[in-house]
Amino acid sequence: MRAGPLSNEKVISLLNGCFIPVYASNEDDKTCARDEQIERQRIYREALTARMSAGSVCLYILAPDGRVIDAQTVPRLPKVTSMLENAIQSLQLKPGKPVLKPAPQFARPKAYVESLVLHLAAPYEQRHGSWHDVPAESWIVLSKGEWTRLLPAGEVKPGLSWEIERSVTTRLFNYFYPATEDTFENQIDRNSIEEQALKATVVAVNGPLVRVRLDGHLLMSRPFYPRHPENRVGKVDATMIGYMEYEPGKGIRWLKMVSLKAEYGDLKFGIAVCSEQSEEKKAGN
Amino acid sequence: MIQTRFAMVALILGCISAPIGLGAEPAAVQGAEGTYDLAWVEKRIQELQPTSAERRFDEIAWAGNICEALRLAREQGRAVFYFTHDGRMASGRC
Repeated sequence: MRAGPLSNEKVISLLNGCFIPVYASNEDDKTCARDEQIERQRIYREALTARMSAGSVCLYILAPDGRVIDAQTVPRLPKVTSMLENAIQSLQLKPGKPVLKPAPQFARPKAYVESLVLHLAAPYEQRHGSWHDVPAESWIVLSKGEWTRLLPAGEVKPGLSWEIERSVTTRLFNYFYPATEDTFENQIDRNSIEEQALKATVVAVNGPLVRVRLDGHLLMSRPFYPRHPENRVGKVDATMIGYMEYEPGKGIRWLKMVSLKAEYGDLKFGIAVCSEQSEEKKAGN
Repeated sequence: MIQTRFAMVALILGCISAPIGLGAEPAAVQGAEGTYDLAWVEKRIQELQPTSAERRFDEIAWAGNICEALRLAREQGRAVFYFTHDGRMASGRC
């Protein structure tokens, strides 16, 4: 849906001009606010009662008074366009400016200021077709207690190297996979890490700043589908290189890492990890 | 096993290109595509990010939740486009 109808120029224009668009993950059905739970259930039941096509992956069109006037499970572009145009006609909607300001939908999460917030992108090499259409992304938030374990203790000089402990590499590497079918966010419960290593080497000390090269490797089994038996479970086989800079006693200024090679089963993909500062920290710098 | 893999990777990639020393330029790894230095890593990070075409979804003026959407629809005389799905569409993990 995101790479299809929701990337279509006409659909975007109709949505912004005549509708209030909203999407919801079924993962939140039981944890969202009570009034939202009630509306989610009401809309689903109203569509079923009206014998409309309704289900977990579903588009609903609601009139300004909240009535369900159309619904369709897993609609493709022509169906989405016709549902929008039918609603505009039947409700006599007048096009206007977007009511809300469009904003990045995968924004940096709120985190404690001392946290190390890492953005991960993992696109397939072939960036089109079904799960390949959109690069998978994750936010990995390491607490101070976790990121300090990336750093060495004691005197630091070029050439010093150390192995990052597994508890920390597991926190990072569990997200090193491309798009697979997921029914909830960060569905890492079906990962099985078989090999993992991350070696850090001090490559330069410039005043108070220490620059470190990172060399990593991961071998991790991950079934493509959740809760489906698979004859041949896909494996992530990846080699990474990266750099980080830190100031002893203060913290990690930045961390950047990419894959030199990454495969998931027979498919190639890429891994890009980059630390992102909070707006407060950016302003402070 | 892992040590062996690292040794193999090091062998394939070549050797550390710059001398290591206090205040020296960061050592980088030589590989088939050139030097895997910080500039190369930063360039690869950019190449692997979602493109603007892959982020067109962000051009839509989404409401935060169904209750906000229903309120705005009532106030503005608009219809609601409500899409439900499994996983997280915004992260591409769905």
